[in-house]
Amino acid sequence: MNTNPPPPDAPLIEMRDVVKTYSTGDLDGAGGTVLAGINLRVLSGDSIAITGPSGSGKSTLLHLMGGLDEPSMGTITLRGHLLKNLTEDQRSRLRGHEIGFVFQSHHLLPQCTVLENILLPAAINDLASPAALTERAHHLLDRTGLEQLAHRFPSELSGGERQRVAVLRALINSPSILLADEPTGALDADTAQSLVDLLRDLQQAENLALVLVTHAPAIAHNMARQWSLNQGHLEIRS
Amino acid sequence: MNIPLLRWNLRRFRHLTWPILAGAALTAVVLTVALLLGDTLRAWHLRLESCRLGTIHSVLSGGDRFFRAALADQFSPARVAPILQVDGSLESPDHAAYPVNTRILGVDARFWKFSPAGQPPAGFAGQGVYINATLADRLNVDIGDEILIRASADSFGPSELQLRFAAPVPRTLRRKVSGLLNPDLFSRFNLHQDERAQPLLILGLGELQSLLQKPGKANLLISDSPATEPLNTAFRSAFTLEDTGSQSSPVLEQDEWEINSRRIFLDAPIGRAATRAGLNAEGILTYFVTGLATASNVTPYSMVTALPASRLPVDLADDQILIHPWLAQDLALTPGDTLTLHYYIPSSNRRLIETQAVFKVHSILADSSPLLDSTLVPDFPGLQEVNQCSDWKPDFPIDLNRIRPRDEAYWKSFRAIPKAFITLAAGQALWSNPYGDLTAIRFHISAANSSEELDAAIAQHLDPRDLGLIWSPVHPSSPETVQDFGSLFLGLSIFLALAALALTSLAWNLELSRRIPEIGLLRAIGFSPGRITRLFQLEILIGIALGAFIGLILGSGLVAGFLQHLEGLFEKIPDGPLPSLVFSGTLPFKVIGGTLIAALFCTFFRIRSLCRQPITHLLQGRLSTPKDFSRSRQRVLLFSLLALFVVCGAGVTAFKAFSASPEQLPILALGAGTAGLLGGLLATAAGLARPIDSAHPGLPGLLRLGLRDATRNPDRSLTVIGIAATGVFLVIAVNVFHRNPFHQADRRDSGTGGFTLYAEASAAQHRLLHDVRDHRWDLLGPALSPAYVMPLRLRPGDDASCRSALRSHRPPLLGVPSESLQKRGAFHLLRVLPGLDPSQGWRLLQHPLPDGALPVFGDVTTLAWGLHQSLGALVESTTDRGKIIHLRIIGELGDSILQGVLIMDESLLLQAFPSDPGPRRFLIDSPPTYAAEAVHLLNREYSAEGLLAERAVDRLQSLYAVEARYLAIFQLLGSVGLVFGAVALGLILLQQARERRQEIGLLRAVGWRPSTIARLLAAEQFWLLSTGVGLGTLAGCLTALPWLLRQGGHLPWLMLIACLVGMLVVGLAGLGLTARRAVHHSVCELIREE
Repeated sequence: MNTNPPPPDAPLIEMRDVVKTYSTGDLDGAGGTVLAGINLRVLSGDSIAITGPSGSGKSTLLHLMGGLDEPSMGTITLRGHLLKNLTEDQRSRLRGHEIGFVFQSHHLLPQCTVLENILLPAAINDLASPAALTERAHHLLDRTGLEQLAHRFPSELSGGERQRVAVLRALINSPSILLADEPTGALDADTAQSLVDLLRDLQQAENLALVLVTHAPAIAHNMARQWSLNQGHLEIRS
Repeated sequence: MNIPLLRWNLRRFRHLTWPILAGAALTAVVLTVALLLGDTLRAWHLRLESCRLGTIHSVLSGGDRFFRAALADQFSPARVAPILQVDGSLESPDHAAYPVNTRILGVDARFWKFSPAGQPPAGFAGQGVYINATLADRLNVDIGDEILIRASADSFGPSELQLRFAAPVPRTLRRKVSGLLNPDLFSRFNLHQDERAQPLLILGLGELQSLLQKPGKANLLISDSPATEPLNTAFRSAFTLEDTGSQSSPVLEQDEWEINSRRIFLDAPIGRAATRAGLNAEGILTYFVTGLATASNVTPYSMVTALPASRLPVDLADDQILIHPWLAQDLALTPGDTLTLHYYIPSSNRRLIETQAVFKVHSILADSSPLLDSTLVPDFPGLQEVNQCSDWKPDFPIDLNRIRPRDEAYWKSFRAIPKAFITLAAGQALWSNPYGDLTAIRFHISAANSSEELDAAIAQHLDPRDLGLIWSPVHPSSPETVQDFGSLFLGLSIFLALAALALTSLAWNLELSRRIPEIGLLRAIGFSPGRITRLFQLEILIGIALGAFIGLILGSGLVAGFLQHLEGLFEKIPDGPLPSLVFSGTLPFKVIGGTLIAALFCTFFRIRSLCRQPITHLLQGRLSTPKDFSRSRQRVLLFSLLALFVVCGAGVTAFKAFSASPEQLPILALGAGTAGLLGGLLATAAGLARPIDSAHPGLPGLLRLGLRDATRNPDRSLTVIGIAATGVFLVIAVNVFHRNPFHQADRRDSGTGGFTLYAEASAAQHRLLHDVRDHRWDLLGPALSPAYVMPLRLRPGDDASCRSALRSHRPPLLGVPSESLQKRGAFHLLRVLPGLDPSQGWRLLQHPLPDGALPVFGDVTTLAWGLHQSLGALVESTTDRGKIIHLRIIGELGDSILQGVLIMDESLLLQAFPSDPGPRRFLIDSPPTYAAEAVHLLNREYSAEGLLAERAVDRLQSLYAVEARYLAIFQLLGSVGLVFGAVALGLILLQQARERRQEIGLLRAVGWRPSTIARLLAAEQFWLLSTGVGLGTLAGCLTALPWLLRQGGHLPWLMLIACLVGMLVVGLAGLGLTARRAVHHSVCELIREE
């Protein structure tokens, strides 16, 4: 895999004519189309909200962007790399370096402390520079006011705190893109807004692209661009 | 490797599922018990061997030929000790027990240096009486008690031609027991492999020589040198004629030297040596005849001598005879008359057959003829010592009433002087036998200046090997010759190990199912599938290693416990060293390594398949996708077809088992059951893979829900069913294989041959045969009247029965009357070498094979376990003359009381081993109703001669007992496994309860009562356990039915019920815990977790 950085003006993610269909499991083998001919580009520093009704394919689109899933048709380019040409291991490596994920569920490992959960993505490389990484983790914790929770286990945190830790975990490897799949879905309005503020704050501070899936218009308005998905078609509003 | 993450994950040990540890521990327990018990038993058998032989590597056995004990000094630098070994009878003075036939050894200090202790017992200074525990038990005596020792050193010679005129009188010695021999002091001394210790008495060499009136003699030499050739060379240069049992002496009246033998007949090699010595040797053959008859008169019981022409006064033809003038007068004979000689020739089983030869009287000797010489007659025991013939106490059929006053008068005048003379050629044609064809050799007095010079001249041309005096290795056992118990037990435990692995796999799957989102997260943040697989494998590796270590300790403890109760598993072995735990340094590596490899193999595929799932599904913690539906249909079809195929195979195998040969029956029966079990599990897998919606809609509500729950996690359900089914199958299969020796025992083609009794002895039983011949058993009552006795000969060797854990290289040879066995239709010949006619049966043994090998049969157990040989194999044996002969196994008998030996025709055995002392094994057909009484009578009558009788079925049972012991060990392993399996099953149910807390909470929230929830859970467990038990029972029956219908017996109902109760208890315990959790947690708490 070519790891040379792409030109500054090159899109971080580019989708061309992406179609995603699923088999419904019917005996006749018929399936359903979730995404139909998606074309999009995500640039460095973008903050994008993707909205749409339930089942419109928001999460599927996000998963395709991050290389967690594969399109039925079309091409996806991530940092200049055509995903379909990469092996599973190469895709994993690319994900580890370039993308941070935040899910609706925090997915914190119960056996790890807050600090260890944050360092988890760095463990791919056996914490190659442990001191530097730990320092970065503490920096992030300090910045988000979670420093005092560094050595607690997830079971000792509130829902909002867990999701904040999940955000920090997504940033530990200094990715260029942060993909958040309804990170506020399970939070109350105040906590949700607080989390979005944190995301925006960190996005600007780290100069990364943020793509956030949400069905809450108030959350979407915090992003610079809003895209809407409806019946598999993407509508770029701004 | 992701060390940091692994380190973090290791905290999970606190939460590590116990079933993983239990499964790994159980696997390790099985491996540990099998290997450790195997190593221990193997080492124990080697130790038994060491106690039997010490450092002895070579022996020279003279049997009934006594040589100078001083020969032992002639082998320097090799260490050699002389032994005087005889069979004797021992009694306690108060006659509290039957007399015991015992090997008696006379030894000096040199003997003890070969013992494991390397030194004599305390207080042994060339005297004292030491007995082993076996003898002490039998005689019920202890140190300080007096015992009566009766023994005689009978070197009379051929047992078949024992023309004794007086019975041998055993010498008696009354001594106090000085000490008890222990295993390190040769309490198990025996030159042949035999795990059963035999009664043994050891006393000073001088004392035994004195008792037997054999001063300075021995009949056994032992050495620690494994090189026999130098020993044989040294023996040849040191031995003299005296050491062959022959002697030279001057015959003063004749100015001659004579060589004769204490064994009556001179060994043929001595005659040849005398000829080669070039001393003008002349052979003489004097024989006892039962009558010299004309057409009208008979002179009974006389001696006739055959002489070479040079010693005859006339030119005698081979059909002519010279007669004593007394005989001429007695029978009114004149030259040209016909004279018939009646005489005995030996037949089998020490029967003497009277036959005759006709001669024409050549002339009548003069009263002063030098031929009328009493020195021509060898020293028949008891012949010359009486004053009148009627005082003879013959050991062979003589009608003393036939002796007339005229005969007594002859005796007074001429004693045993021969009454007739024939040519040596004619005499040898009539009376030559395997033991010799001369009774004396004469030399002119000028041939040597002294008897020593004459002896030396002849010994120079004599190879002692031709007389059977040869050093032979005694095959000290190497580890390779001992049964590989470890592999055997591992083979027996394979089901258990598989069940344990299935348990581990199941537990790991449960653990993984909880961690699916974690796998998804790791994939999402950039961990590759290979990296995750390695990480999880390393994690479980540590868990399994911990479990394996625990299993290693538990297994070692169990084996230590087994050893404490070894007597319950094995026959009590007095004089045997106690087995001690042999913990090989490689055992932990084998156990932990084996458990790790097996468990990692079992768990690898699950983690790999999970890592290949779509990340999005993993993150959502779900694995079923619509796409899986079509795959599940394929699985149903695949499993159904496989199940059908395997079940059909099981049916065909079971059907074949009904008509299979006895040795194939257990294999086919077990194969049918195993295939049935596998087929059943495949069918269950197919059933579980079916879409849930179609699962038995007609069932009542709770049962249907229970079934749906059971199908929700097919792998887990299948594993639970598999464990239960395997346990039940093992219980049935193991129990059903206990063989019943009483089944059809009266049939002649059964293992008893249709005989009621079996008797064996360490010495030939001539008195028994005489008693049978003389119908003396009729006087003993109905138990032995009528009785048919089939005597068998035994050439001792290394026990090849399943009672011995050592591979036998020189098995005992059993000489049987093959014609009688064939006519009787005794025993079951399973198969013969291709090319031979099976309908010939026992008659196949009667003639040597075209390649010169002697044909032999062996029973299946002997061939498979004792010899590790198959049909067509060649086995070597050494004849009396030290020559190697080849025995080819041409037939295989079913399991029988003739186990542990190779069976050959009696006449061929006698040709190879002419010095055989006589029958030592007996098959007796007597009224079955009185079998126990007959055993008592025989043991009472003949125990002093070493006979031990038992019912044939009891012998068969004792042979089966060995197999039963192994089955018992297997059962023990199985029981341990079932206990662990039950515990692990309980833990799985507990785990399941924990998993389903939220679900239970939800059910409670919507109004389900705890009792209803408990019934739902019970329904699921009912399906799992009942399916497992049902499958196991069906598979067990598939194994049991062919066996039971062919071999008899019954299903192990009690064990089966116990097993079911055990499963029920486990199920209820799991259910109880689940219900308890359902009740004791608040609904809100449970719902919140959801």
